[in-house]
Amino acid sequence: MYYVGPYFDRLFELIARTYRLDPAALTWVRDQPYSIALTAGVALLAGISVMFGHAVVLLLNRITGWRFAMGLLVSAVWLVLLHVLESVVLWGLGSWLGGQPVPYLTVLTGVLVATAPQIWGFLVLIPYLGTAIGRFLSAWSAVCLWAVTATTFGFGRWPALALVGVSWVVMHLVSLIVSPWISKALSQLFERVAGRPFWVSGADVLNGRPLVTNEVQP
Amino acid sequence: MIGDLFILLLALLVAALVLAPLESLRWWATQGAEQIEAGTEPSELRELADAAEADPSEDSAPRKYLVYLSGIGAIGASDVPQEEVPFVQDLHDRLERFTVLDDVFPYAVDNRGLTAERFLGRLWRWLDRVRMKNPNAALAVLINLRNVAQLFVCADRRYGPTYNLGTAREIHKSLVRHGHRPGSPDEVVLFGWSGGGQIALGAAWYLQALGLRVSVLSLGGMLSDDIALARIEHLWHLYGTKDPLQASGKVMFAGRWPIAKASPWNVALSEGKITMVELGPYRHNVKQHYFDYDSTLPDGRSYAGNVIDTVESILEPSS
Repeated sequence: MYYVGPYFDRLFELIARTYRLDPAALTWVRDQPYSIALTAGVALLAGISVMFGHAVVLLLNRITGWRFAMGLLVSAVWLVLLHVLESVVLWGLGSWLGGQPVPYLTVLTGVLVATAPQIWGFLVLIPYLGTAIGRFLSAWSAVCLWAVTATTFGFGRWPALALVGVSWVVMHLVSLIVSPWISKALSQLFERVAGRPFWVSGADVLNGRPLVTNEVQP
Repeated sequence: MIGDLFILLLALLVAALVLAPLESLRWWATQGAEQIEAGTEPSELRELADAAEADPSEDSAPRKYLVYLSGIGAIGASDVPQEEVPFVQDLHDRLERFTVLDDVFPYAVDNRGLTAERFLGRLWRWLDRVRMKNPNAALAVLINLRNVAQLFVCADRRYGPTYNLGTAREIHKSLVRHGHRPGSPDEVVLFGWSGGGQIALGAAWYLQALGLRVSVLSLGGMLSDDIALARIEHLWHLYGTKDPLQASGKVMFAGRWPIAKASPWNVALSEGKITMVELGPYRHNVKQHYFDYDSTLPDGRSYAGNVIDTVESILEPSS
């Protein structure tokens, strides 16, 4: 209990610094006693918020009880895998373009911190305005990622933007190429877990919000 | 202190908006999907048989129905703001070729009024009593806010399909209760006042799929670029020049912006399926509004009388 208060103080400080696009946010968090726990905390809060949105899609698909819990778990794991893949792409490209090795954990920390705007991800549930809010949060996360990337690799502002842009293109190409297989595999997995097929397209699965689709056809 | 109160109210508003879709989602998850998949229920068949017995005529010509969907001040199908009651009675009296139906509550997928047994039923019953004592009570705005949130659920491309299935089903049940034979190409005009205009559009998609010829008549409605515009026969939007609420629809819903050339709204507009009818200097409520029988226009007719005349001239032009 003694550590809980200071932990949350620092967690909110990290979130505030990320929102302000503070270039020293990553350096600041690395100097904190529980830096890994802090960055994981940001991602966890963002994940819980986004999962709240996913819960609605599960309800739309008439999934309740333990299947509901398993559906949320599967989608959470998928969300983590997407961010890990994103960090690997960013790390590989950044190290190659920058010509100097950067520890992978540093890049992963940056990617996790950049999820801070998704803490408001539950707002995508708001009727009608939610879709626009979701797009705004995605753009905000991209801007945060841009800011932390510039710090992580020691690039200037514009090379960092180019790096984030290239990593996005690579992620998109990977998505396009593997979309049919991943979509099919995920559908089968969801069906096995949830007991019924999902009405979610491959594009929805790969857009970083695996269960929150723009249009659900009943 | 005021800042804290503002944050509290904002948090409550956000919570209400976030939770708004849950009612229709719960309905879909627990019973709606099964009911839709099962198709016509035995109880509906009984209702149909009863209706057929009650109407011994052999006339198989398509019938005409007008379904009145109330505004965001409604608490239940039969519990609408007092000012609407004489207006709906006028619709009954004046539209001779139409059977006028007013037994559908547009802000619940299962036609349950707010004062029925539901989670916040006590709150709504209390607000109903408050409003009966003072129709202009500030607290009554909570009813409007609740129903506005359902309007946005209806207009949302994610939640809309389930919500609109529910309301379309209730409208269809009402039509059957009033003599409609499922599958017959009867003509249905969904008359939506205020928020009811959007609910009417949402339900129209499914009612057309049931073989009905569906038109929408919006009275000061907040209308979105609903996909149902591709299926309806026509949309008449009656509006007042001093009514900012109906005008907010063309700002709030991006699909109504002129730049959204391919949106359902703009496509329907270019196809001539939408007629905008300016009624005059009408307000949305308080006074000189669409249901105002006391205030008069320069030609001597009451505000409400002019609306009734206009509706009649649109739906029964030769009478």
